[in-house]
Amino acid sequence: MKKNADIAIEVKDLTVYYQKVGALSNVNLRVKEKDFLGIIGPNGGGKSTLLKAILGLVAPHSGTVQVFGKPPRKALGLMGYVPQFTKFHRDFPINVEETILMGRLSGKTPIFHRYSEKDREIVHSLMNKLELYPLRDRQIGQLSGGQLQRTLIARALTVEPKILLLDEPTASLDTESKSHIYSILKELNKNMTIIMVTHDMGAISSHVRSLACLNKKLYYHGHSELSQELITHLYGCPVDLIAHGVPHRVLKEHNNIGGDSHV
Amino acid sequence: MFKSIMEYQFLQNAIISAILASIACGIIGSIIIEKRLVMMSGGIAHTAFGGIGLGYFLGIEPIIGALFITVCAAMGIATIKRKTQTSTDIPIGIFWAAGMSLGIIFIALTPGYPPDMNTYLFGDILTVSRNNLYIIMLLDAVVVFAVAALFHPLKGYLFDEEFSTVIGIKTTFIEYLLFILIALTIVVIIHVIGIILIMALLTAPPAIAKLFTHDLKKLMLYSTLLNIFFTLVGLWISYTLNIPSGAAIALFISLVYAIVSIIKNLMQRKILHNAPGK
Ligand SMILES: Nc1ncnc2c1ncn2[C@@H]1O[C@H](COP(=O)(O)OP(=O)(O)OP(=O)(O)O)[C@@H](O)[C@H]1O
Ligand SMILES: [Mg+2]
Repeated sequence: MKKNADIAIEVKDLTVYYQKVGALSNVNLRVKEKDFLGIIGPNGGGKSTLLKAILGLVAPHSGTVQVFGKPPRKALGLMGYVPQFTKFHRDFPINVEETILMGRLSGKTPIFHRYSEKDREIVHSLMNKLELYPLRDRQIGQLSGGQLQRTLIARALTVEPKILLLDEPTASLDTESKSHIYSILKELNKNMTIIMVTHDMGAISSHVRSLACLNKKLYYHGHSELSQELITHLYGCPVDLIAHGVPHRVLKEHNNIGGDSHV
Repeated sequence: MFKSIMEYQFLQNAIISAILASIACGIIGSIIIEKRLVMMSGGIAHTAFGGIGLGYFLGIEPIIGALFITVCAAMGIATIKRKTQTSTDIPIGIFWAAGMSLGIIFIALTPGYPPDMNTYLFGDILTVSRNNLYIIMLLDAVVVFAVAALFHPLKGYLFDEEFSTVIGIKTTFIEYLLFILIALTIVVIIHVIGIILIMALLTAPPAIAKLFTHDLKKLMLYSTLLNIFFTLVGLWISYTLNIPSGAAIALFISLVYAIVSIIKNLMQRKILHNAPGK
């Protein structure tokens, strides 16, 4: 066995440019298998770009990305993805159920393919969990923002990937849907690596195992509990983590270090 | 007319080719409008004229020349689409003009009396020969087989290319294949409606069918049925009034499309009016 057998993603000196705009500069990141990594950072900090680089959807200017030791284009099919913004046309003739079923396709789908009973069962149970079942026959353009987002999350989950990448998956969801999704993710995390971009600090404190803070450069990567080390690091990363509601678990930590010179 | 159908082979050929063209057109037309490929298909269609000219110039069946050139153009346009992030309108427009010009030049270079190009430009379904019919049948079979065989991945690609790529569907392959199928379809329908009028048959029927279904398979089926109706009625009009078939079909389609659009508009207004709280 190779010595890095438990590394899911390895990003080395990654720099990404869009035409002339630099989006990422010299990012190094290593994600262990079965980690639950939260990525935070300001708008335009390059969070979505990092996910796309891992997925092989944008090409690095320099540096490398490896997914289970392979370049992203060779690791297609191992990853599921919930994009921040969708590019499809909302008037496309497809309904909720068929959209989610799409996640069952892969590079190995045979010709004259039909969805199996198992495919349909997986999709039905997810639709039930995400309360999409009553909407299953709806054309995709006739959903609300949150319903569409739940559909796309369900679609990514049906891939049963080894790595799941979610770009602000709960941005337009109500509290109940959010907690449903976090509990599903928690369950999945037992045998799946999850990377989630989010501005939801509540989720960071209670669901995420490790944290990365991205603002063109990677400012911090490590434990998600807000220790003194983290605070020190986050000063370099202009994020509203401390200004906005500080999560309770974090507060405790905060009290512990209250006597220190930093506060 | 029905007695004539039994008597004249050219009428039988016309009807069979109308039905075959309707099938390819219903399937590919639905794809073209959903994937927003109308302009690109128009570009490919117009390069067919260059191919027809090449056919005459080389002394081979013009349809074979068209097949060769449209497939090349389709590959070229698919590559341009892959490589350019911004709008592809400009390269497509240039393809469009270059294809037509090539046709004119080949015809000019061909020795002897210049052939009548109107058949290809505006379609003349009554001139479909047995040989043409065999070519059309073969191309039609390829289109139907390919779409049926790859239906789910193809639908994934049409709906959400990014996600399809991520889960491992071979989107590049599917895209090139799709462009080749568009080229084949164009060759199939040149005789029926002509290069210049092709877009009417490719876009209007699926646009009408879309009012009645949210299912891609049904959209293809309804478009095909509409196409059969349009081409056969157009053929009948053309035969009885003795006017060119391509123009008869295209005009009939446009008329129906206009009426359907007006009705749709009126109905939407009515719904708005009757909405509670209004
Ligand atoms: N397609 C694009 N073309 C040009 N520039 C882009 C493109 N996508 C992103 N950028 C630029 O790259 C930088 C990083 O963008 P990115 O979308 O990765 O940020 P983000 O961290 O996801 O932000 P947000 O919180 O707003 O989603 C920004 O400066 C943005 O302007
Ligand atoms: Mg983003």
